[in-house]
Amino acid sequence: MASKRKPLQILMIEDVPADRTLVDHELHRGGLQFQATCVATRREFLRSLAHHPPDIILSDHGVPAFDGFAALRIVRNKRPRTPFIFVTNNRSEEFAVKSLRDGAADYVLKDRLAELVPAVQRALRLVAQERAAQRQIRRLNAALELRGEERRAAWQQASQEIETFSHSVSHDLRAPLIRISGFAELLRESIGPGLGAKGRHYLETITDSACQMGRMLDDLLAFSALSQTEIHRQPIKLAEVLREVLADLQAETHDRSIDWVIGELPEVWADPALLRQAVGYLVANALKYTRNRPRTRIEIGSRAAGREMIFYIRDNGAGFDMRFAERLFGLFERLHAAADFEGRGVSLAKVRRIIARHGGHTWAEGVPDQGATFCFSLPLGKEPPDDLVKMHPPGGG
Amino acid sequence: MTLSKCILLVEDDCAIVELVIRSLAPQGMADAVVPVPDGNAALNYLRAQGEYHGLRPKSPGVVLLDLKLSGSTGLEVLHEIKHDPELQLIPVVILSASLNDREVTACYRAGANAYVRKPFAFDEFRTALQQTVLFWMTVNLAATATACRTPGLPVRELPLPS
Repeated sequence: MASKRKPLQILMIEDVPADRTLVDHELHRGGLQFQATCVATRREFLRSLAHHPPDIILSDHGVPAFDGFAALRIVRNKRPRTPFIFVTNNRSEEFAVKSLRDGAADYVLKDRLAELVPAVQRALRLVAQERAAQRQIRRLNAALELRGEERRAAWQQASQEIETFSHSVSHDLRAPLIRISGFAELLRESIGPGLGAKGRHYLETITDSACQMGRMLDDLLAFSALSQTEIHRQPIKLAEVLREVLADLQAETHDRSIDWVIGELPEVWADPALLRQAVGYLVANALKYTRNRPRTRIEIGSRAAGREMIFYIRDNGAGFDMRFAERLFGLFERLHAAADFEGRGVSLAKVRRIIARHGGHTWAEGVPDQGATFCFSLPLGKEPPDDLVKMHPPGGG
Repeated sequence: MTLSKCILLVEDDCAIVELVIRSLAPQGMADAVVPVPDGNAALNYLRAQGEYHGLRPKSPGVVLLDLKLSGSTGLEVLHEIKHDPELQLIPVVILSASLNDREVTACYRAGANAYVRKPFAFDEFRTALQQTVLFWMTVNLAATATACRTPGLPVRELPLPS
């Protein structure tokens, strides 16, 4: 009488009818509800496997027309979740080891068939457990996916807020600056010569401060734009990038005596415009802080470090105290007096942001009055480290 | 310099209005500036309606349009001008404190003739204003409405940014 449960589908590889009968008998005796298909050749086996996918496979290992291990390989390949049990006369240890190593669920000796049903049940239980685990993994993945969605949504909202903020900064804060510098200038013109040296100084300070604030607002906007802009990665030759950068800095370099030591530079996957900006800032930085040297030496090169490439630029310029090494990369941070070296403390912050957007790091080493080395790393290869690039927070430097 | 046309300045910040007028004074163009505080007043002036009804106001050689206005935004006013067959030939120069790529693009798509960012250093501000106005009022050859009255300028319909 057909029970409500679907009978177990068993595929047997066996060419001795007596053995098949014995196995059948044993399975019945063990109380299994099953339907068995018996095959003795490779062709039959393949056809049966394709048309009536079995729940379990019981295989003699030595069918003349078809080797049991070949059958096992096919099953592992085509239906890796279907348990495969050898039912064999072979008692050799070698056989036992090989069968388990090749992925058989179990093996049962023909003269101890009483072990067959427990072996089948064990194998089926394992399959069921594996299925449950798979379902659990799928559920967890779905939950993770959902959290990813939430994070993406939060990220998008944050981006939007920055956009609004930037817009407000660029418009609302600039308008009063225009008024301050405009009316300070009109005041200077209307008082004219009557304005003493002191008065001129006061007005100049007002005007300069307004302009300084305006430039800082622009810098802030340009800096925050680096977090917003989309990155278009493509393979680019770093050597080529450096050549372009040096050509752009010709005006700065042509009347100075500079020893360039340029080493190997690889091809990297990066956004060409952004990488060029970063390299440009680093070279300009080296040129700026070496300009009081009678002879400037700038070394540029790279080395491989695992799955990353490390770019370095070393100069013999003013250097810096290592205690302040991290501050160097902060926005509007300056380690040198503006009177010695002009600048607004923006370019290195931008370098750090650009490199971070590519999944790399930036750092620097220096000795006061001896020189400095600036480095950045970039992941080699095409695939960007997704989480780093996407989840990089818009704020920090 | 005597100009037959005026410069319509749409700007709600009266301090900026004063700076614009003072900037144009050395060229003798200060008198040509007609300041209006918002988009509504600008459209009324251009259409000689509302408070300008019956005044036969001087037609503008150029409209200097601030983007951030009370009431309608500058972009909305620009849309209105460029969709009106009677007004769309008047050059409109956007005068903005902001420099937002998306906004610049939106203005050009809406038919802006130029986009000038107000520099915060006054000497640069003055130079920018003088050059802009000189170009549109004396160098540029404006189209005449009578020669081209029919089909309206094909302005792409774009959603206004909120």
